[in-house]
Amino acid sequence: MVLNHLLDSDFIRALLLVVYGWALVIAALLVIKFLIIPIKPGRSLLIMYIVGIAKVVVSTAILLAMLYVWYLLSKRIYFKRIIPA
Amino acid sequence: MLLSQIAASTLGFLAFRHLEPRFKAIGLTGIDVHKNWDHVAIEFGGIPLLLTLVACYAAAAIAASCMSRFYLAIMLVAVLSFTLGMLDDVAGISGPVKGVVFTLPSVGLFTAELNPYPRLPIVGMTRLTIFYFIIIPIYVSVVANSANMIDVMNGVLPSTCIIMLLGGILLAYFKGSTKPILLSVPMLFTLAVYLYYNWFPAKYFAGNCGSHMIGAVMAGIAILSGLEFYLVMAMLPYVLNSFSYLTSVKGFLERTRLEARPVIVRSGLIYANKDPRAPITLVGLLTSTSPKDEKLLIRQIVLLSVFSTVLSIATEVLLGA
Repeated sequence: MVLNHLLDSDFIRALLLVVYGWALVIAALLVIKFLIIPIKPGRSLLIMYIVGIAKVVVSTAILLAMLYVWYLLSKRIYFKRIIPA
Repeated sequence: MLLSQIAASTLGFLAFRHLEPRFKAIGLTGIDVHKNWDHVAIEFGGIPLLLTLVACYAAAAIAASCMSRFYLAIMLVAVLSFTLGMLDDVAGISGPVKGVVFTLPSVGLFTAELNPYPRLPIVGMTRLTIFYFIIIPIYVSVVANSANMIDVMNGVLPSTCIIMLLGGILLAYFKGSTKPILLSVPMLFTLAVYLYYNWFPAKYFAGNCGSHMIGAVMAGIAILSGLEFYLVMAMLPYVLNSFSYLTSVKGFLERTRLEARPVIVRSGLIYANKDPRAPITLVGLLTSTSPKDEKLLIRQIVLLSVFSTVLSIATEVLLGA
C-alpha cells in the first residue's frame, strides 16, 4: 500500500531517467575503454601528453553530449506530461 | 572511535539545541514555503552543523591518530566551504562566480596525500598525474553546488548523504578497505545530528553555508577514499536535478532571479509550474502529472537516492577493476 503510493508514474519516470543517466555513464566508460588509443610504454613523453590530453578532451565531450541527450529526454518527458497535447 | 563519535555528536546536538532560542531571538529565521501553515525555521543551521562536524572529526583524529592528516584536510574543506557559503548567504554570490569560488575549498585536500591513479569501472586504473589535480577543484565545486541545489525540502540533503555514505562504507567493506570507513563515520554522526533537526517539519535549514559545506565534505571524503566514481553514480538524482535546472534556465541563474518558480505551492500541495520559463527540477519532474505533499516528495527523492546508491555499488562491485 505504502509502496504503491510511492511508486506513481512520475516517480517511475524519474527512476527511468536515473537508469538512463547510469547507462550513459557506462556507455561513456566503454567508449573511453575501447575507442581511445591506449598509452603504450616506450613512447615519447610529448606523444604521451598529447594522447592524454586528447583522452580527457574526447571523454569530456562524450560525457557532455550524453548529458545533453539526458536533458533533452527529461525536458521531453516533463513538458509532455505537464502540457498534454 | 565509536565512543568518541557518540561524545562529539552529543556536543553537536547540544550546540543545535542551545543555539535554537538564540537564533530565534535575533530573527535568523525563514518561512518554509512548502507548508500549508506558517512554519518558521532557523536559516543558519550551517553554524551548529560546522561545530558538530569539527567536533566529530577532531574526536576522530584523537581516536585514530594515524588518520589525523586526512581529518585535518576534511576540516579545512569544511571551514573554507562554510565561509564561502556564509558569504553567499549574507552578501549573495552570483551563479557563475559560485561555480568558480567553490573550487577553493579543494585547497584543503591538497594538504593530504592524494592518489592521482583513480580506478574506474570497466576502464581500470587510470594515470592522471596532471589532470587529477585540475579535476579535483571542479569535482568539489560541482558536488558542493549540486548539494546546494537539491536542498529544497526538509531532510532531503542529510538523508541522501547518509545513504551515500552508508553505501560507500558497504563498498569499502566489499573491497576490504578501512580508509573510507574511517573517513565517513564522523560525517555520518554529524549528518545524523543535523537530520534530527532538519527532518520534516524542520527546525533548522542548512542555509547556503551548510549545504555547500555538506557537498564539499562529501566530495572530499570521496576523493580521499578513492571513491570518486562511486559518488558520481550515487549522486545521479543530484546530477539530474542540477543539470536539468542549469540547462532549462540556460546558465547559472540564481533562484532569486528566476522569472518563474519551478513549483507552485497551494494548500500544502506542490504543483509543477506550467510556465515554460520555469526551470525543470527533480521536484518539478516528480510533480509533473499530479501534485504532491512535501512528505511524499521527500520519500520519493530518498528512494531515488537509495536506488542510485545500490546501482553505484553494483557497478563498482561487478564492473570495478
